[in-house]
Amino acid sequence: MRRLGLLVVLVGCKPAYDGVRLELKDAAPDGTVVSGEELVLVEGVPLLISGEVQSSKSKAYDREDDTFELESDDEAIVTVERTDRAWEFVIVGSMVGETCVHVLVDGDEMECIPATVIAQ
Amino acid sequence: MVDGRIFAGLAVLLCGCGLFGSEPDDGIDDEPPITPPEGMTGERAKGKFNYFCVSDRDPACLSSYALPFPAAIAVGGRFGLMYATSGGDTLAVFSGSPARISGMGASVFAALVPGSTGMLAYDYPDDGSERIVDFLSLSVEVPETVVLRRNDADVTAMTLEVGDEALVIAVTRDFLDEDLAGTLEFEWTLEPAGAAEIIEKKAGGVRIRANGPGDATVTATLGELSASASIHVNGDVATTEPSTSEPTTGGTTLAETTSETTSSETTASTGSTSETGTTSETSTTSTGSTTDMTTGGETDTTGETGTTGTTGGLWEEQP
Repeated sequence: MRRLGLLVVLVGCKPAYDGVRLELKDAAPDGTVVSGEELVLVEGVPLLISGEVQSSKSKAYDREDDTFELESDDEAIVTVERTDRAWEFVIVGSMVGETCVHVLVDGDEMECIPATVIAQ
Repeated sequence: MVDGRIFAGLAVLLCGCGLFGSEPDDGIDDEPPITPPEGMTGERAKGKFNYFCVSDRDPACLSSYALPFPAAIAVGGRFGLMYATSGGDTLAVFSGSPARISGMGASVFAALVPGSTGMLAYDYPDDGSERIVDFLSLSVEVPETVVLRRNDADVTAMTLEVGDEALVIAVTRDFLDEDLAGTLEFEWTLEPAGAAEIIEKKAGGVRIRANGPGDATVTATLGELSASASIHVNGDVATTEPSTSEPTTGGTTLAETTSETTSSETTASTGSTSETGTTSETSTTSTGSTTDMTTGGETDTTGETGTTGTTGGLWEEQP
């Protein structure tokens, strides 16, 4: 009974993924949408974005302890790379088209955010 | 005593002129000074993007001092871009959209599509990952006009003496009449041959030599755009002999110059080898121009001289 209680406590200490919040760090051209649900990028325009990983539990994800990565499903359409700061990225629409951006938290894929690249 | 002072004063003046004055005008234009433009701090302010010119005719570098970072690059223009961190490290730069600005290797790029395009400076830490350290948006614009320039001034007409050499550069401008950066490959013609000829051709400009009295027009063409300048060579036409002299600049020159004018055809053919060993050849006829400006192999020249290029390319520098 004590072991079961300890297990419940340990599981309760882990945050539970509940989406990401992506935020633009600079001005972006008209038509740009950057959020955890959708990405609309103007072809060729690089954007600096920072992210927050949402937790459905009281235990939050932490920049120091948890890794958060974004990976393009099709790098010919979207290029996304982290900067030297944790949870900060540069994203560029390389070519007009549609793809998605994978969200990886602590090495696990959580979702793939739909991404559309529109012409300038 | 007074005469001695005057003499001494004259001597000082003459020496002063020699020491501090400009070089005597020998009628041969100097090669333009080449200075890379100022760097541009990236959006993340981690260092600077450094533009470099891939030929000695890119307007961004045609100065004895560092011009500001290019505001815009011409569509079709080639250029180099590298990144230097504040700590002094040099990082590779990649295009954020290769369909818009294409990488050509060795940090050389070609601007393909007008608009804004992000250039990304990558770092590869020891952990095997890759990171974007900084980025910059470059503006690419469609050239609206072409102007010819000589000795830092726009030129539409020039008067030369026999033996003079004029260095003429073509520059594209945007709708605001601002120079556009980048090395462009203009097509050059000089017609009619006889009074003057093109003795050296590079990516953006030509060296013209005045051979004998008369008039000619030099034209630079880029797609549907062109610019011309009239050339008048002073002298008495009646006493002029056909020129077969050798060019005096531009390195080793294999001068084979034939000037022949008839009512129906004018042909001037020059084969010259510049310092880097490339060969430029031009054939211009009144009924059509056959100028091979892009291939690195053989160049067929129609006309009497029928020369064939044997070196690796027309331009001095290739990416």
